[in-house]
Amino acid sequence: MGAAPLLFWTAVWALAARAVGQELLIPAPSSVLEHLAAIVRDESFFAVIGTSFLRIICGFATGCLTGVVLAALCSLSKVLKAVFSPAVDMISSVPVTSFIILVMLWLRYSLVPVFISALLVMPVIFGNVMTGISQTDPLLIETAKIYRIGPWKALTELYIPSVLPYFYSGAVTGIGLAWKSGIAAEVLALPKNAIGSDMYYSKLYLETADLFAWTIIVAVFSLALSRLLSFFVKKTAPKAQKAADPKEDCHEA
Amino acid sequence: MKLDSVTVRYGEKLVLDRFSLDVGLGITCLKGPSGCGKTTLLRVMSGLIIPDSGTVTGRPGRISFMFQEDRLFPWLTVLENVKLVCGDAQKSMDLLKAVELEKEAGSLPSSLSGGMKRRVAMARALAFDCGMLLLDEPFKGMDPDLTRRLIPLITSLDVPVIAATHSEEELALLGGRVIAMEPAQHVMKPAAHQIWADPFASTDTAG
Repeated sequence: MGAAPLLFWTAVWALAARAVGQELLIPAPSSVLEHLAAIVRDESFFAVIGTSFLRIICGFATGCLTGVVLAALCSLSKVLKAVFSPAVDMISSVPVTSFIILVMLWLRYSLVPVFISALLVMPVIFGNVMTGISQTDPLLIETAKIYRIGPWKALTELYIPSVLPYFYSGAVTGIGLAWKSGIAAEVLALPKNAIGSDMYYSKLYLETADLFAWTIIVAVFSLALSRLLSFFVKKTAPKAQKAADPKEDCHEA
Repeated sequence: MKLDSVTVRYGEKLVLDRFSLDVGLGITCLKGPSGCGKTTLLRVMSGLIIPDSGTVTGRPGRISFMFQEDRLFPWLTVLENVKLVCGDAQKSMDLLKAVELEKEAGSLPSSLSGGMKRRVAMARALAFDCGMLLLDEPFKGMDPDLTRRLIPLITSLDVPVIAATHSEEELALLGGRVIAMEPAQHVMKPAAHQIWADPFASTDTAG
């Protein structure tokens, strides 16, 4: 967001806070800023942020890995595709809170955000990688066949470069999802050292300004992670990106 | 390689009608208008198409095919594209020199002109260790001088070469025997393909 829209929406927020006149419902931007500074200065801040970050990144990585492996297997076998595709579709359509509550019965509370992040990321990566595999140029596949390019070389020189732009597109979408769903899981599971737990307690003690401050922190982190990943993708995969940009039919969550 | 009464249809369309041909060492050129089945015939020879009827015997185990499209791997450099099929960097570089593209070895195909891409595809086809070389419009997009300089790369090979082209000049330069083809669906007689002598090469019959 540029500076002008940011100023505009902060002004709208300030006017709304003044019109409502109750800190409990809509705290003023200045008040939220004070609370934000207090949260950042708190000695537990980095432990909270770091632990939440670690959980979510672990979930994201697990989701990516599972999505890629599952997509590869489903591309190789029609039977596996028939079995797993509806299951992945179902995961995408079930509300995340249902999963969070269910997973809380199965796992330690500190692992719930990891599992939930992975669960939300996996279908996005699965969908994109499946699309990438199916979009691999049939003429190049035929060429690889004529020139007797073995399975390993075909994987590294043909399929991976073809799929990579689709994977990256899914990963950029997935990192935002992992962050949001991971925090939601923390709000319900209340593990120690967690942004979501602190948000929940802010709500419990009617510290609306704290809740706003945490929300700003989460939004900034989510945005920063997506941007960081996009930057990393552009730096590491210029050739693949140039060669095969993802088509519009990429799965977007 | 021997093709015996090969028939290929794409749905309702008859592309090759009981086509017979013997291919031995040297160059065999396929000439004819677009849509007469030259590419289909090359694809049958390569084993990429299984004919609806008829037989293909004596097909070598490894066949190199320079397709009508360049089919370069867009994320690989020019050198990597050639090296992909032979695994030998020196041989690939030598072939790039032969097609006058050594300066472009590190470039991606997207930065090359159509004729340059064609030459990379040619270098790749020549790099592949094979028992037969199939060329589909190999000099498309190249100027006549360059074509003349590249022709010896093809004519000096000691494997059977089958080249499809509709350029009379290329036919003359390549030499060898010429198989003239016509669209199969227009041929009403049982002899599917009328074959006639080529002004530049030995007479041959097929069909």
